[in-house]
Amino acid sequence: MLKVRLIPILLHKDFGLVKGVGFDSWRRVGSAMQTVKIYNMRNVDELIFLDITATEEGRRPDFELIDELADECCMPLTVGGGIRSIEDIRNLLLVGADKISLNTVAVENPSLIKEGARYFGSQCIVVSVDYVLDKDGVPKVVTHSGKKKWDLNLYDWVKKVEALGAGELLLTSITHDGSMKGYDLEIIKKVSGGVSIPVIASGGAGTYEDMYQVLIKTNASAIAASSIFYFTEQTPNEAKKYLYEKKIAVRYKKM
Amino acid sequence: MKKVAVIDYSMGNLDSLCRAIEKCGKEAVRITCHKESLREVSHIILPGVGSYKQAIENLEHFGLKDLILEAVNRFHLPLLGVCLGMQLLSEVGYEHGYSNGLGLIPGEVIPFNNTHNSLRTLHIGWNEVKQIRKHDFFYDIPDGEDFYFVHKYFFKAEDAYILATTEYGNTFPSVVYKDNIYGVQFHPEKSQKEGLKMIKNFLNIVG
Repeated sequence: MLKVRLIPILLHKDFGLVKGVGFDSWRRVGSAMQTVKIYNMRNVDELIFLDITATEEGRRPDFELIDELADECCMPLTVGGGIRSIEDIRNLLLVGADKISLNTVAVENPSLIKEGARYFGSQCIVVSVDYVLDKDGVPKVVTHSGKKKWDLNLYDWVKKVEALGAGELLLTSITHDGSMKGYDLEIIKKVSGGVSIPVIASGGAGTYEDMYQVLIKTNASAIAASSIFYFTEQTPNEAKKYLYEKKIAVRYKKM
Repeated sequence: MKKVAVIDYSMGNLDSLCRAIEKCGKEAVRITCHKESLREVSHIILPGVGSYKQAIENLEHFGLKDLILEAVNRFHLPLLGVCLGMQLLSEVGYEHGYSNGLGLIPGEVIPFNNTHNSLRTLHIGWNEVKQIRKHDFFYDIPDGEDFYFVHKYFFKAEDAYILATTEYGNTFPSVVYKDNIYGVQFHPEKSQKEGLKMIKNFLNIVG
């Protein structure tokens, strides 16, 4: 049967990788190449690499860097950050990305989701959606790496994204991100229950049990995590061992 | 030493595949149009990511459809179709409308129908490949090993042409074959150690 996936997220800012809390207070956590090499040996299922300042700085993706990382990376790689056009998508796929992730541009120009799916197939189009709760507790979409709030209901947006042809959703709770206090189970459950495309849950992993909770309480197809692997002694393979022993279908190998 | 031809019809990235071929000790050569010669070639790989319809249009446009058919029918070169490449081996596909495929292995390409269960519309991730028949194609690869899939449609082939199956709602063919033609629905070049073994096994098949 299809296995649940464990996907580390790499956030790139300036010259290296960073990790923050609530999309703020960024700490440097190493070089992209070094981190990719480490994850190659950690039995992870995929990698997601996001350039978090490209859009803000009006930059295109760093194709040269992605080319080098893709060469090194021995598992499926999703690349996002700064994508604005079909050409950007094409060039990223050409340098070795297996899937691309659209975030800000998806909200500003939703037709790119549709065009991207038409030219390259839904399976390579991931739409990344970041959200916070507004003052009434309603989740609303945020773009520009957490800097621009939209009056756009999360649940409406994910349905629209699916209808436009996105292959997968990367769902990130800004509030939970970097907290290491657990995922936003209620919203992940609602979102994954409201769409038919795979949902990758992101934001809040602090323990292996946090990951397990997502998998038994929601319909998420994959777990994304970042801080837990940078700032604690916990490892992807140990996470999979934990899930495997709790009867979750994961690709676990004794190492 | 003869080379491994990788058909480049502008759909999908070939780097991982070419690197995998090199790791197996062979040289990869990208074939982009019908004018290229297959004289120095021992094996052909047909990759692909995207839509069936667009793929067939591209193959025809660049004269690659004829080149592949000649390679297989006249020169009996072993051929491996990967992901969409496997689907193109079929007689017909229904993605974005009806399209004729290469017609090398009987069967049609249709979408998964998982509306009655909670499975997602796209089959993305690692899943088990259950070997139905013993074959050198699986040499040194444990039965039930996980490989990486990413697709929405599958190749509905007759039993006689199925080498392995995978479960996703229904059981579908994950490896098909006929004579010296092989098709894998998953991406061996993305499936780490076991994927590399499979590519090596294919490259050890003599035409």
